[in-house]
Amino acid sequence: MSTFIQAVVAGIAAGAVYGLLGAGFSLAYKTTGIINFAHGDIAMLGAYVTFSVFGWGAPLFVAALAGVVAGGLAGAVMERGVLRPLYKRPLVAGILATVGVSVVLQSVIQLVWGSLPLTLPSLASSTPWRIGSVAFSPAQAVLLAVTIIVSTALIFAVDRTRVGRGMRACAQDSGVVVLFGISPERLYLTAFAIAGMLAGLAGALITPTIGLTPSRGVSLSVLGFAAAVLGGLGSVTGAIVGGIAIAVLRNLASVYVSAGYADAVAYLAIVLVLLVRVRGLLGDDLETVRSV
Amino acid sequence: MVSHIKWAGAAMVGAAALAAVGCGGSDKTSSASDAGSANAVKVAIVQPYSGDSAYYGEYADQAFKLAMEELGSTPGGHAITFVRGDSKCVPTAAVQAGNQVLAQSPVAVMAPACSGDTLALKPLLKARNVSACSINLHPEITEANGKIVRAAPSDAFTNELFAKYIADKGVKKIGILHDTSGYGQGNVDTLVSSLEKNGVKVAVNATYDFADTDYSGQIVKLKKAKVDAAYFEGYDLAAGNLVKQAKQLQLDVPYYANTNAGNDTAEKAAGKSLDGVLFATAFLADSSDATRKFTATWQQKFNQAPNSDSVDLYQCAVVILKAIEATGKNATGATVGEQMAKVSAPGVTVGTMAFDASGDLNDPPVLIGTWKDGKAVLVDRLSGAE
Repeated sequence: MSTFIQAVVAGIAAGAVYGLLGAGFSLAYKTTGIINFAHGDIAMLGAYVTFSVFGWGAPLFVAALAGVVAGGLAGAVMERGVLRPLYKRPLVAGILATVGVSVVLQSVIQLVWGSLPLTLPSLASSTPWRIGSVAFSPAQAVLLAVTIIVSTALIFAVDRTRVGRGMRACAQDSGVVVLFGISPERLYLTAFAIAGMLAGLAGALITPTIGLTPSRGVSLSVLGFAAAVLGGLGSVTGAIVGGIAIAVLRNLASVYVSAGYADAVAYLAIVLVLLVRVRGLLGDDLETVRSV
Repeated sequence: MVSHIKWAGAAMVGAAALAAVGCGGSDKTSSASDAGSANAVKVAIVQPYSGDSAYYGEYADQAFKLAMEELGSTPGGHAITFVRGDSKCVPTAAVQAGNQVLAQSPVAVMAPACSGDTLALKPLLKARNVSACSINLHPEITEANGKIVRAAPSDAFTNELFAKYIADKGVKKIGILHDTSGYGQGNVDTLVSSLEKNGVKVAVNATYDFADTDYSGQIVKLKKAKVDAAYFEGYDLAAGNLVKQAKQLQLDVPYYANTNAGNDTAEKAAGKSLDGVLFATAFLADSSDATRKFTATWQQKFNQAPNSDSVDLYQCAVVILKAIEATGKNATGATVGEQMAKVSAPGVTVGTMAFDASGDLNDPPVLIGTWKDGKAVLVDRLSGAE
């Protein structure tokens, strides 16, 4: 039983970051309908900025904040410079442009920081506490706490604030929000900036575990996208739940089936969930209708 | 109009960024001296120059730079032009890069640092009758009358000794975690067979993918199997991350690891967690006068500590330059290959590099190292003269 609990606990800690990545995917999609395949690369950019600022002598917490800001800026610049001119084109043009941005970001990272793998220390100690026979480290606790705080604030902002309601309205009909004096363009920019900040935060949080390499963003994009789809594209809560579910499923498959099949088992489970419930775990009917 | 100019500018910046990191092509050429002279020869360097393993390309260039400074830039009177191929640590890309550089008729090739890439290149080398020097550890890189010499000990050799060392430590039941690369698979296959010969049971043999961001499932599986030792195989960052995560999950058993655990990157990733982890390697900075001297030179010249990869790449550069020197005027792929096979050149990890009939180093070094207070230290020498 302790093995099972350990696999679940470690999965929750790892999945929290996937959830943050997925939340960024969902937020951008919810507002603009665009799936941002450069999201993971923005996360890595945030992590690299965290590395540099930390290297200049700033406390790690401040450096991580700089990474979050860098992620937000990258998201905003991407929306304003690359995606906005494409909104009147078919949606696929914007989505393909995000793939291009992903390649350019990887190249820029390699040019600026080089290709040697880099590392960052954790925000908290990685020496574990032992609760019974289950190990759980302060670093994992911080990661989980940050995810809970940020996602709660985000869910509140999307559900209860004027901007958040505007984003949801944009998803239904961007023309209608104009009648209420809200600029869709400003909402798009805000959505991508917040999504970028979430990516930057996820990058700064996950780097102590995986290190920094220029192309790592691709795998983060895949994880974030999978979390968002499983949770229900467009649902921030769903993305967090989806991220945790993927990590826990991978861990359980590694322990009880085979590590070689962990991804296959996890993604097969996603397919099965989507076959039964096309809107994902917590997606709303609107998204289902829109996708149809 | 302004908009068009803006987009054209953005496109140019993007294209320049891509070209600068080698995404746009794989046949960069540079001349070490007068490439236009009658005696000019081409040397191919096929390495990852882009992607997450691009640092190998950087090491290879540095290795040749240092070797040419020390041995002369015109071996045998030949000016050298380098043709580079970007193998990306992806076998299909390695074949493409290999075809491009081999079409330019190099007299020798520095083989990719990733074993899977070199294995994919082997048929091309044979077809073109060009020899390569490799630093790969996969046992199938070299073969009798093959076209590859190896400036590092094969994993088959290293792991035979390492497995006995582990068994002698009293380990009866071990758990193994490794990546699915050609190198990772080859490393673990040789270790598992040697461990079993020495009576050590491999209770778990689990894999992870390069793209994985979390290894907790696999580590929990090792805990569940109640192993009394763990072996972690991984490239630099992964080697450190595996150990760090295993310590976080309180896998409280002795850890053993492959050579990459001795690299600085692994230590930066894992920090104090690496202290006490025993790894098998051919190179430790502080293991002999030759390694100390090389470490100081490399550190001073490139402002970074050398590791087992950069040392082996340097040794390959020396082998290639010495072979070209020995061929005299008639330097072709065939003649340089013959000289590479019978070269006798000064090494760093070995006093003199010479190869057996299969292309493997004679008397290769196998050291057991560990980390202590941020420094890799020698624990034992299982093979090779100091």
